[in-house]
Amino acid sequence: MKLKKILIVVTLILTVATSCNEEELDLQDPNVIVPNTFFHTSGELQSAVNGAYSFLQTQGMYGRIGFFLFDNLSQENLGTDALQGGLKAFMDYTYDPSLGEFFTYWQAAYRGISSANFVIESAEQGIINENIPQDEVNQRLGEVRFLRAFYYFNLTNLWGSVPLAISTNSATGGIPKASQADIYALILDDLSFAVANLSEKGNTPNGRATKGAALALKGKVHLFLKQWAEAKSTLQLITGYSIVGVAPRDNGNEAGEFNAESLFEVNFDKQIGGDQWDATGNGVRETTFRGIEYAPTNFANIIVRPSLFNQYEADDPRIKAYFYRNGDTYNNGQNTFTGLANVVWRKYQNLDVQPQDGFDYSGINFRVMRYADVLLMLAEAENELGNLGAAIAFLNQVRDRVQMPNYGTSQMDSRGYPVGSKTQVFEAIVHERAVELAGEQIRFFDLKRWGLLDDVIIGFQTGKHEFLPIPQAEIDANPDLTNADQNPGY
Amino acid sequence: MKKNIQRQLIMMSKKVLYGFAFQLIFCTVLLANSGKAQRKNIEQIRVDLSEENSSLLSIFDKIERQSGFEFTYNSGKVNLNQRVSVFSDKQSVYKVLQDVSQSTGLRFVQVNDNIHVKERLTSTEAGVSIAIKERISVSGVVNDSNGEPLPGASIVEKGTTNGTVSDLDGKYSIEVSDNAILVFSFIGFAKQEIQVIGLSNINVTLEEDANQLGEFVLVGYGSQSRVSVTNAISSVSSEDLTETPAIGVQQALQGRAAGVQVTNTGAPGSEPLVTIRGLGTFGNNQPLFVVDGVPTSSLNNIPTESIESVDILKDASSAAIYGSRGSNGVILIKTKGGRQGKPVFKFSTYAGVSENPREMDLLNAEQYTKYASEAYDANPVAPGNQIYPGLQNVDPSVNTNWQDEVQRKGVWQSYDVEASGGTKDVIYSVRTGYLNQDGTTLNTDFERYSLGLNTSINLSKKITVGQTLNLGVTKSNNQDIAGGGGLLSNALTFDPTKPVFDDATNFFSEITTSIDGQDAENPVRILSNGTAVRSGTSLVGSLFGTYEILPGLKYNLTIGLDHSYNNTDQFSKSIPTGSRQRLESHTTKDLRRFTGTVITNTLAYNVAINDNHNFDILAGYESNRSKFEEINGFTANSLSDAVENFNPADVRNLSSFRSENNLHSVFGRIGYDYNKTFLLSGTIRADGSSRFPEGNQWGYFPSVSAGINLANLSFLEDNSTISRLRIRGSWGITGNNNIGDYLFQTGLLTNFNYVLGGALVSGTRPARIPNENLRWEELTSLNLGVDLSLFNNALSLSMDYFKNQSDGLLVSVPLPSSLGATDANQTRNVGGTETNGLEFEIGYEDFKGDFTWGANFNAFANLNTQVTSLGSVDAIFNGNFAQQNANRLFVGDPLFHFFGLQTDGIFQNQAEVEAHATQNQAEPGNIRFVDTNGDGQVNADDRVIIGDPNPDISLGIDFNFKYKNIDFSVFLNGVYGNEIYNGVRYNLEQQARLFNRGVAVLDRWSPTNPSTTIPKATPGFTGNEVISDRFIEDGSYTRLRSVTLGYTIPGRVLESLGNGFISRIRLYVSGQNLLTFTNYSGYDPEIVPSLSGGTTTAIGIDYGNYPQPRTILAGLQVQF
Repeated sequence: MKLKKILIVVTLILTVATSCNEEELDLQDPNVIVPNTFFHTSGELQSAVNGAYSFLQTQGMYGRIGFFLFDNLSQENLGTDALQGGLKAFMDYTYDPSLGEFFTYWQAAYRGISSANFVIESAEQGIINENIPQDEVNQRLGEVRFLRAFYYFNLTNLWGSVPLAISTNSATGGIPKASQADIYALILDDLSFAVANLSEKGNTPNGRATKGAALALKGKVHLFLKQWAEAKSTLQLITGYSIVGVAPRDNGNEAGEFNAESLFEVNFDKQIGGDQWDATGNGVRETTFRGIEYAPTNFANIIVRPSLFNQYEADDPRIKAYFYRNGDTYNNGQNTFTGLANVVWRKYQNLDVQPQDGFDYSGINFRVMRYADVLLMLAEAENELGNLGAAIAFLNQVRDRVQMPNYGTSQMDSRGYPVGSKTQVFEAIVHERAVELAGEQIRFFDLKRWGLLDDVIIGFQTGKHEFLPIPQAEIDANPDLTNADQNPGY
Repeated sequence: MKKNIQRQLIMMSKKVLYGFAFQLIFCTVLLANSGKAQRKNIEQIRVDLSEENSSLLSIFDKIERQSGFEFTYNSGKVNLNQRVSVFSDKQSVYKVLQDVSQSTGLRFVQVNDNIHVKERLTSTEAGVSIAIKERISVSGVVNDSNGEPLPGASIVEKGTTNGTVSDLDGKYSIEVSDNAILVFSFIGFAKQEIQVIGLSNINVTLEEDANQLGEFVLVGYGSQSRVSVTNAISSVSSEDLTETPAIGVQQALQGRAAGVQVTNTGAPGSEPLVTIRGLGTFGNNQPLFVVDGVPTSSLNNIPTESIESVDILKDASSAAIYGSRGSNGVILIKTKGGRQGKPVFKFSTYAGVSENPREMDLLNAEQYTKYASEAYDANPVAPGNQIYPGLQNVDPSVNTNWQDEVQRKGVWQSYDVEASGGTKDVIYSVRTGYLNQDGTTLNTDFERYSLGLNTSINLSKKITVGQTLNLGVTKSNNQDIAGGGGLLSNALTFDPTKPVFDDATNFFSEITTSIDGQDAENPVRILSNGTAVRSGTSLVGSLFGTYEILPGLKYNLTIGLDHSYNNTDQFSKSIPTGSRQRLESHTTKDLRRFTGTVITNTLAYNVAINDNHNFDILAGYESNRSKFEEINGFTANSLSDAVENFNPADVRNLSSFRSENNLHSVFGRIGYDYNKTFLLSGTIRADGSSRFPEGNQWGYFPSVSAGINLANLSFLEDNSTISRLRIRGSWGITGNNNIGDYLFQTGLLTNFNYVLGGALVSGTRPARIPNENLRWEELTSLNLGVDLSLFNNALSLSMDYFKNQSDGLLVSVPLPSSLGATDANQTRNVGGTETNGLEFEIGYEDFKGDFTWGANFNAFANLNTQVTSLGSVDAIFNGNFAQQNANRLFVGDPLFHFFGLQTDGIFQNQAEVEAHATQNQAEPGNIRFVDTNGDGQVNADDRVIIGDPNPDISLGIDFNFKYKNIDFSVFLNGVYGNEIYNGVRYNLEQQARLFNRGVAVLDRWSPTNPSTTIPKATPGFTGNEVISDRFIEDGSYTRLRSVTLGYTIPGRVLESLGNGFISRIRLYVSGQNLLTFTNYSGYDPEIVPSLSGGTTTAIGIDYGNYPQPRTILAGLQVQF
């Protein structure tokens, strides 16, 4: 008995001294929101949707690599001696699967897709609180499905057959490649949903995806699939936009953001700022390197390739709107360029209003889709459907804005752009898209859609350069991919 | 449900533990009771006897049986067969013995319960006497062999717990029974036993025992005599730790113990990386450091002068007592506690100068201009005549050696003061120090203030309480900037035609039409344009109490605290002009606070049964709690460079982070030895950690070990050559939980911001893809060892063979980026490794005569380190270099081997290009890679193993010589058989861009110079830079780590100087890293592995490590 008492007392003492508490082993991460408490309010749903937008700003995309990738692959740019490494490899077509810049872009695109999947998946699983009105939920789903389509559209055009992630997780830990047909099917499905559920421009804050943006992207996808009738019928549905009265310069500066022509922009804001090189999507990073990277001073990586500049008709006011040459003024008219050896970019530069594009980075939004593009796509669809007259009319809407001679006039014929045949109209479309949409990360896909890459691109190897090499890091980490899945030629 | 069973189990195991402890107490109580019988007197005890002519023996026997007394006699002197007749009817024993005495001439003396039988020497001597003098007082002095009194020596009455210790003058006094045997002992001295009988004054001289000297090792929650250790434990003494000036214990361990590998950079104050017995995991390889019972990582804040001993638990059997944290080994550190005796003051200082011993040969301005011009225009029209446009308007008088501009001689100084001493009841040690080291790179330095305080108080004979405390305050400048590859690669590659300064006041800032404007920057400007200060405060300490419940049974409670507070303040001014122009100043601040607490309860029981069976039993319960908090922010100020603080209006980024983890543990150990000859021990620990999901929280870690001290066996006992020969073996399982917190949980992060409608909005997405199956990493280790000491311990050898097999390694694995996870990696239990190796430690000590010398040699041979499994993953690529992976993990191959293409010279002409397999950008002058798989195409499939960064052998050799008052020591260490990916040479020879290069490129390929090693120069990437064997080099080196010459001022001089006030003065000069023998062409072959979040990310890649400086210093040691 005595022993038992002692046992109890000492056990008590020891227990107090050690304060054994099993609950202490169950700790919850205090830095994050517990998922099952989320999606209770409209604000939370909106925030999850915002996450899918945020990757557009990352270094992999419009923060840095994205604009270099498209503008250099299309060879609208020419590098100075300062342009080296992977950025130069894009332009020279000397890249290989190990190139880190590809991986950065790829990673950002898939993170955006994953964020979209997070919202779509949560809706499918019924996690979104039923007190949030269904049409609001659908509007949000429309946004992320638009974004997912946008990311996949770029991925499949750059890399061809790529892993098709439609969930934030994977049972095998990897994702196999899907055929381009499957990827396009998903893109079209997403865009149809987006078209049906997104608000019109003006009914939603600037920067969010709109019905017009979804239609424009869907129309573009149909063009890529050579579905001319669908392209036409889709693009025709876009209403409420106009290029009339929008100065060409306003499609490449801060002042003209979200003008009447704008369908979808990637947003940056210099006032909010942030300049971290290692930005991976989280944290504040609301500026782009576009200003300093292409600036005629500072990094001075890029000049305009003569083959692009030479396509402009001498009297085209877009020359002045898009480029700087010696004699042009800048810094609110206080300075004049004198020592430029080459034509340099004005579009997306801040030099109009400041002495140089420096390390304070740029807040100019990228006009990813604008109405002039829609008009030219309509022209293309009509031309392919044999409606030459309609095609020329759309082309001339774009010409009229800059008071340039219309196609189909003798003046234009004499400039070398007759439009008497389908082929000639096509040539006109090629020309007009090149000069209207220069430097807007559009031409590479245009050339690709038209099958013109091997004609235009110096260093292009047919059978290899149609697609970029899948980043080696992806193949190495993905259990469902091997080197045999690499694109041909690498 | 599963969890409940788990809990039941653990609670049960706790009850069993407490019950076990109680069993021990209870047993001891019974034993103690048996000794409490009432003492009797031969006059009081009566016996009945009727013996006619019986033998003396049978009479004694009968008396013994009736009375309970025991006769003691020397059978050789007392004739037990003689016949005696005795009759007694309830007479006293006294009376009976008187009769016997008369007839036999024997004398009887009662001593307690014994009756001594002796011959009567004189006829007058009393036949029977009673000598019940229960206690007698014995006193005396305990001296060492030099006649110096030994305070603190233990004096114990044998077989009892009655004992005392000698005082400051070596004097003692003790009450004992008159037939007692006194045992005199003192650590490091041979034990002596003296029979008291009749003596009231016993003076003892204890002899030093080389066998025992310093031979107690810490084994985790206790210490153990070296003689009975059966595990692989290396010990490093405080003398060895302070032989070479080191900032902290990690640096001081370099080359000191077999199997303990330390790599360090030369950046002042940098934390070296310690690995024990090679790489056991591709996750976190850092051992557990325990200072005075408190796990901590603030090791650079504790001066080596504060450390008394370091014991390294290397095998799983010894480390299993630390369970889930033991698989990388455990390093137990004991800080100085003081010693009973008069107060001792010690002062030591050194000062010196350090410099970078190596410089790379770079192109000068003229050579660079020519090189860049040729490279720019790949086919120069008129070689040598064209000037690269970016270099056309340079000042021809400028020829800057950027290496010289960023390097300097650094001054080192260090001061340490220690006061220690104690009485019978209180011992103490107080230490304070200051250290300042300037780096060999401009504006880099490290400064530390330290304070140490240890006390121990005997409150009563049974209760001891005390505390330990180590406080460090540190500050380092520019370590982050200068420590990485950035600064040195800028110094190597920045244009030599550019001046340091634009004019007298402004740093040259890369001009607008810069060459290579993207990357290389003016390194002097980087270092000078701002500050990057890291300051830290750390406190590692404990409170402890020990209660001796019963003789040999001790309860100990230790409450430990490991607290650190670190902040980093970075500020850089605006850059008014140039291509790096930035019109704002930048301020970044980062505050981190860590608090770890540990509460340890142990019950230890030491008992010897029949003197030969020794048991050493430990049971314990422990809880560890860790909390980490971080706040960081960034602000840009466009108005002024004058203010380095945050301005609320300017704060661009502010974030905070919190993390917590708990570990609860139950453990036990049983050690048994028979006569210190046959040794056996076993441990078990159960750990529950909050880092793992429910169901996987608890891990169990058992171990066993055994050994035989052959030298104690009869066939070797009298061998004069072999003084010790022991063989031992151990087996055990340990674990690793060294990963981030909460990794098995999912959660949402809300900082994926975007601008919508002109305002910043938050974006939310999952923080990671959680691994819900996360569990312990386990290491199973087998160790076989032999210890041999020869020639009276002058020569000692130890050899260990081990085999470690790990399983379920916790590794941060890159996820397919197509999964789009926020955290690009996921921590998983992936695969396993196997490592086996041999360790040798050889020591020689000749300590006789005027000239004495000693040598210590330790070596570690890594026989095999390989990946045995990677789970479902084919290969893990690591070691990012220039956005490619240089390290790889693959089943069956060495950990982190280099993986890349094989080079096969250089394409000399177009015909060679066409004859070769298809290769990206194959053209004359470019490197030809081997199509190893023969598919006609050179691509990623042709990568093969091109090197192994793991050393085959690492060793340390220490010689010390003494002649009278002069001492001289030399210490070398080396590693052999490893390869390095030489990133320094990549900077010097890669030629892909127009940066400055090393002189090797002067011999580059051109149509007229058919080089086979250096490709042609081009302004862009050519594929020559892919990871290949091109930059793989042998990383073996032997380094003369330190050479020291000292002089101790003779005692008689000191006597005359200060009346004996100063007891010791030693002066010395010392050189560190004087020579390095290596074929490696970079700055320093000692390459620190890269870690990210505790996971190893790169091994053997020289990103431009801050090289170890060569230092010359002079020092002084004084003792009062």
